[in-house]
Amino acid sequence: MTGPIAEEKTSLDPATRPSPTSGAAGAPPTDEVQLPEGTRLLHIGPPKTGTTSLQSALYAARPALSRAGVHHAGRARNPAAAAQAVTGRTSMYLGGVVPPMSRWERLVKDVRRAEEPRVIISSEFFADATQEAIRRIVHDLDPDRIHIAVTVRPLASILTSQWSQYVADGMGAPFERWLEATLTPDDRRYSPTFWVRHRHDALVARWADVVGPERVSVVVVDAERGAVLRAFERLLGLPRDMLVADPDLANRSLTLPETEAVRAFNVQFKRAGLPKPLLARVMHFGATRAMKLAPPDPSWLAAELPAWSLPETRRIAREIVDNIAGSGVRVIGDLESLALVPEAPPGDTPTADVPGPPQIAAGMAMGVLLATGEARRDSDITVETRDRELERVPLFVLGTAIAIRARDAARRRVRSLRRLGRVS
Amino acid sequence: MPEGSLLVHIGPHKTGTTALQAALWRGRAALLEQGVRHIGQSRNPSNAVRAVTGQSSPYAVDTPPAMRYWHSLVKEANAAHEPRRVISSEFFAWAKPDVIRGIVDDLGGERVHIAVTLRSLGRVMPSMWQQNIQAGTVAEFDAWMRQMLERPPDKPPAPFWTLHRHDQLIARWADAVGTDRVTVIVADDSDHAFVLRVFEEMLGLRDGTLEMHRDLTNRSLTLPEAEAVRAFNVAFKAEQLDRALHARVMRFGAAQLMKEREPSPDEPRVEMPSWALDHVDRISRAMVDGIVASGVRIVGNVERLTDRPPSRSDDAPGVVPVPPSVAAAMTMGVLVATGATRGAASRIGGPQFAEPVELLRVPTYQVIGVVLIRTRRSIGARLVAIRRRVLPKRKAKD
Repeated sequence: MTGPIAEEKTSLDPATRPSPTSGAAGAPPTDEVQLPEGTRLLHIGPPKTGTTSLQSALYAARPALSRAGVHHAGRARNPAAAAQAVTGRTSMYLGGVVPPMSRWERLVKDVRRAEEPRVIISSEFFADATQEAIRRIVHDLDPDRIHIAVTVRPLASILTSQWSQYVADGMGAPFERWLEATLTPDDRRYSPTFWVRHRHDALVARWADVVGPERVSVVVVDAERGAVLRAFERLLGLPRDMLVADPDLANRSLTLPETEAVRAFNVQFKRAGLPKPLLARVMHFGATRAMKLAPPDPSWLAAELPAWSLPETRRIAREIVDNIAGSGVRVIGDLESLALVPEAPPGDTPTADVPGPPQIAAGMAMGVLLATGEARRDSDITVETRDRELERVPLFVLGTAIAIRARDAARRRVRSLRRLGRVS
Repeated sequence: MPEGSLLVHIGPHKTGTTALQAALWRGRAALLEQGVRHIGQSRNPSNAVRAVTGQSSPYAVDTPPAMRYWHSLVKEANAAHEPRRVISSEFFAWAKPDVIRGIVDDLGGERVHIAVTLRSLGRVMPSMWQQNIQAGTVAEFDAWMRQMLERPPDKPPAPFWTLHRHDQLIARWADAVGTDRVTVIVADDSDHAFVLRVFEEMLGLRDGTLEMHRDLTNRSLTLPEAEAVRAFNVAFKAEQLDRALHARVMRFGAAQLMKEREPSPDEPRVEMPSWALDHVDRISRAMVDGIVASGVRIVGNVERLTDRPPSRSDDAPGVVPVPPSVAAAMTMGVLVATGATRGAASRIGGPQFAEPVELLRVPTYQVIGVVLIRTRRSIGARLVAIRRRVLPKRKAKD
């Protein structure tokens, strides 16, 4: 077992387990933002609001969190499969299959077994939940103990970063064509989930309808780094700065030239008639993640909203802010900042087929090479050093990797034997 | 060429050799009907010629292919009973004088005729640079040009000049076979079929037997393509991966596959900086004079070899913008070259497990090693915990 998981297990001592009710009736919290003991804080994202950064900070701090009375639920940083199972959403890992409900049940069991006074569950995939799924989630996590956290970011930056993420997920649509379709009511050509996730007022209302507005906290994602971490520390009653962001795991957005390179690849990939799961493996989970690890050159810009899209973006952003303000949920941070829409770039700035420096092409090609497993390299690194390097990778992931590599190697062999059979 | 002779085409590189070899290879049957045998098991018997000239295999560092490739090529050449035979490989150009004598002896001495195709140095240099890039080098074009042209006299000349100091190349072979048995063919960039016509004539073939095939993959990389590959080479070096993998995924993989895209006419090509023109002129002049004075047979306009290539200003081009289609074509090429797309369609729907980025570089045995030490550590921790829990109880009992 890994360090953090072992910690979690040893603290399962029944002597220290608080009774679920004693917490809720305990001393009043010192910070008005702090949630009462016994709370199960469910962070539902949505995507592109700094979720990866929060989740990896929680994961890295697990032993300290446990000592401070907070249990971070799930085996990994993000219990994605559990959230996908209960929301009925397909998983890219599984090649377009909804994970089995047992994944959700296992997460619920983990939450119920926790003896720390507070539990945090964080996955942006909960944002996709329908009314029915929300009811089930709330029921399973206990309506008297649940609290919902929603991280929200200005619509203007969501539009650009979510487009780039859709491209990283395999989409081939250029920015302005996608933007036009997205801003047109009822045009769900490209990404039917966009407004489900990012009509943040409606997202907040869906959950508030089930749990009550007093059990929903909206956390405004600030330009200032770390604001979200500070907000969650307060919610969970943690000492300040216990959560530390790892710049490697910030899951930054791809810049425009990077996104355009990936998009061109997606288009060629589809034209070649190759299967989607392979694209997910080499690009979504492979090259784009490797590309995000490299800090972007300051001269590579993100896509910017063109002038024609500003009025509609401003109108929707205004509505979102007004509706959240009127909903009676708690707000941490400056809600008004969500309505800000930057001015359009001057002149006719192209957003499609934007060239980039050679190292973007190289990074993408190398990322794909690494993802195919062809670039595993023998070296004189000791297993102990490897262990430290792989600190962030949980043991069960290592086990799965070995099993899958063995399976793939066996498949390759069977395939070539079959081919031989066909020849002879 | 008299009956019984063997025409050995020695290149050098970047003088239209691939087009000629492709025409010979495709025309094999027609050649045989006319009494000419194209020797070798492929378009270009590069393994055999690399073996005899000591050039390393593209898949290994400093290890030439085995000599058996050369021996079997010699056997095939000497067993052929057609009146005329032809071998073409630019790797012959690497041969040193003693190796040349060996090659000529092996192939039948007196019967060997040498053909050398030439192109102007100004055209050859950019072409050679992008070829080196495909093979894995990382030097920028301008830096490479300086290395070639401004080498201090106390250093031995760069290997490039073994191939492209054309007058010396010709002299080395003329020394072994005699000037009367060396033919120099000056390629014509405005008439690509010219070299084919000359070979038809030398081999006694009917006009039109050798056909020019439009082959997209035989073009040079454009500047953005070459720069993308060069950046890949830099990353590849940083990963400390081996030459065989580079040869498989880039040199014979992505670099070839990306040539299937048709670059737009305004995509920049690799052009010579104007500072280099005078240097190149001077060397070209000396080479032409040397070749003319040597007394070998020259077909085509030898003065063309001093033609100035298109050039650009001296400012280094800086960071070359790479169109997304180039990045995509290179990446797709790498993916296809790894074989990951083979049989991929049959796996649709099967669970795909994406390894975390941290694991991608780690060989499986080390992953197993990490699992073992973690398991051992966790068992140890648990034993300690159990002992702690059990010992106080025992004490209490006592």
